[in-house]
Amino acid sequence: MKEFILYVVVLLIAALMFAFIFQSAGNVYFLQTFFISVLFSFAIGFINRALLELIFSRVKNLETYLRILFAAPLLFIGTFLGIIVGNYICFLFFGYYPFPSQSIVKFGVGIGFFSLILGSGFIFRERSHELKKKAEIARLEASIRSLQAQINPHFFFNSLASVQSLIHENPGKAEEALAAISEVFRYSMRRGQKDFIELCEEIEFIKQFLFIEEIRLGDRLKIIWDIDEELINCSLPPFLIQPIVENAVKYGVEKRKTGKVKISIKEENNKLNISVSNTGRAEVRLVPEHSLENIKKRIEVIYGKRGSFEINTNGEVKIEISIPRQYNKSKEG
Amino acid sequence: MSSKSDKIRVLIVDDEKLVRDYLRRVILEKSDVDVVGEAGDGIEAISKVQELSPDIMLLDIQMPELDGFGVLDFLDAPPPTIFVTAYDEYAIQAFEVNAVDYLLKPVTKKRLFDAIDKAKIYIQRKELWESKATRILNHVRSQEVSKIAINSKDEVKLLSVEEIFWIEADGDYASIHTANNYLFYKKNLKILESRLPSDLFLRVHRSYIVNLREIKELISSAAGSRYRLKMVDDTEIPVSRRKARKVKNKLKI
Repeated sequence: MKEFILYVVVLLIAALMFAFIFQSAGNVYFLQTFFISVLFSFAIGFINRALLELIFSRVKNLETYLRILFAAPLLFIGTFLGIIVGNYICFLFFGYYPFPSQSIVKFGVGIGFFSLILGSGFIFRERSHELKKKAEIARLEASIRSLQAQINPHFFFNSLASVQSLIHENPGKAEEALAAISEVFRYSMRRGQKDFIELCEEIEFIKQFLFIEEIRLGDRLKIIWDIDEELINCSLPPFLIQPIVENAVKYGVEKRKTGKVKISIKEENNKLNISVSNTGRAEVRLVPEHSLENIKKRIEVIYGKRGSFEINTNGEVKIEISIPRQYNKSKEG
Repeated sequence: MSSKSDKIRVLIVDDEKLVRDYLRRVILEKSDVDVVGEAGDGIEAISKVQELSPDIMLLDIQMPELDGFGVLDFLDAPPPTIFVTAYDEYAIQAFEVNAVDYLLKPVTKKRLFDAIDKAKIYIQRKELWESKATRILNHVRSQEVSKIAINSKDEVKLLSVEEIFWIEADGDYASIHTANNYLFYKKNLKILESRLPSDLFLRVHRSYIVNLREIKELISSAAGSRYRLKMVDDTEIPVSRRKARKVKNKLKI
């Protein structure tokens, strides 16, 4: 809308300019000349605009000078069309043609150049807008990447140390544990490069992660899942839930010797509501670089006001995330 | 305990039983070493050291509640210690120069044996270990903590720093005042000051540290040049002249 108003204002100024030129050339009625100028200016302006939109909506990512090169012949054609249309409308209103047919070419070329200058101005403007937008998107992507959590290195080395012990005491379990560690590692490497994954992938990852934690913590850990099965194909950023579960296990179970962690994923008003609660005291201090702080920031960057992150510490510790319910577009197509 | 065997007596401290089992099994392969005890957390480690006085301690850094550094910090004379850690760049920095040795998980048999051999030197030459331990602690004590270990009657307790109202110097030691009692802490105010989070605590006087959240009001003397702090428990604490401005800044007055 802002863009459109600017465009109209530019056309009006052009019309005013022409009106004065005509006026000084000896035309008597200024209002009539001004009206005619506005008419031509809008006819030429809108036809040119429409032609430009038509090609640039199809041909994208052109350098600025190439755009102007493409635009030039179109702008001349548009100008001629505009003059013919303006002429005809004028004839309907006032009964005469302001541009007699013998001088159309002369005026057309002149106004065509003028259009080209104006058009180039707009092309420059739009191009710089586009580049700014692109830079903004790149900046956002970079900040999302930098916030993209990786699996905690402590976790890897600790679980490998557990397996080392298991090899002697329970070889079967050691085999399973190694497979699970590999899965977690694979997910960590692959998913870390993706912006969105399906909920079922994150859940599978969390299950492998918890399998390893259960080996380390034994029967001290109790997990309760409550997931709406219809939601498992929803898409969400990777590593959004796992760090919360890891945090819940760390503070709810490890520190208290035994504990419960409940993971619930539901839908409400087209939002995906994820909550992870654990028994135990509220240990969650949101310090920078803490994994929870990181998730909060990622939700802010990715979803803005459409997402939320809350920590509830009444009795048990509960972390609630709400994000829009979305599906991966490439899957639908 | 008093019967002296020739074997080197080792205490294993790690929060994961599987890891303790592994370390014990491997250590026992050495004929001159004996595992005298295990501890699954920092508090247990402190009481086991006091009870068993082992020759060497294998100490995990990352443990729930009180971590390995907290254990060392609490003990007056910790035994030569071999650190065991999964991954901790900061800790590794501290060890590289000062530790007897440090082991990265998963620990190999050879590295473990090498470390124990190294530790034998320090068992004989305690003063070498003591100077190393001091340097590690200096490094550690520059880091802020959220919990400190405290001797309360006969047991070791963990205190969250948020629970502290104010601290008073008591000779070379400190007495820590909380909502319902006061606790004796066998370190001086200077050490406490560097370990308590600076956004929460302020040394307002040579002999006092206060928790900024537990201040009720700032009272100025009639002349206006002297200040006292009234704490939530109604204790009044003097503010030294030099600290008055800082106190006001922190309280945003």
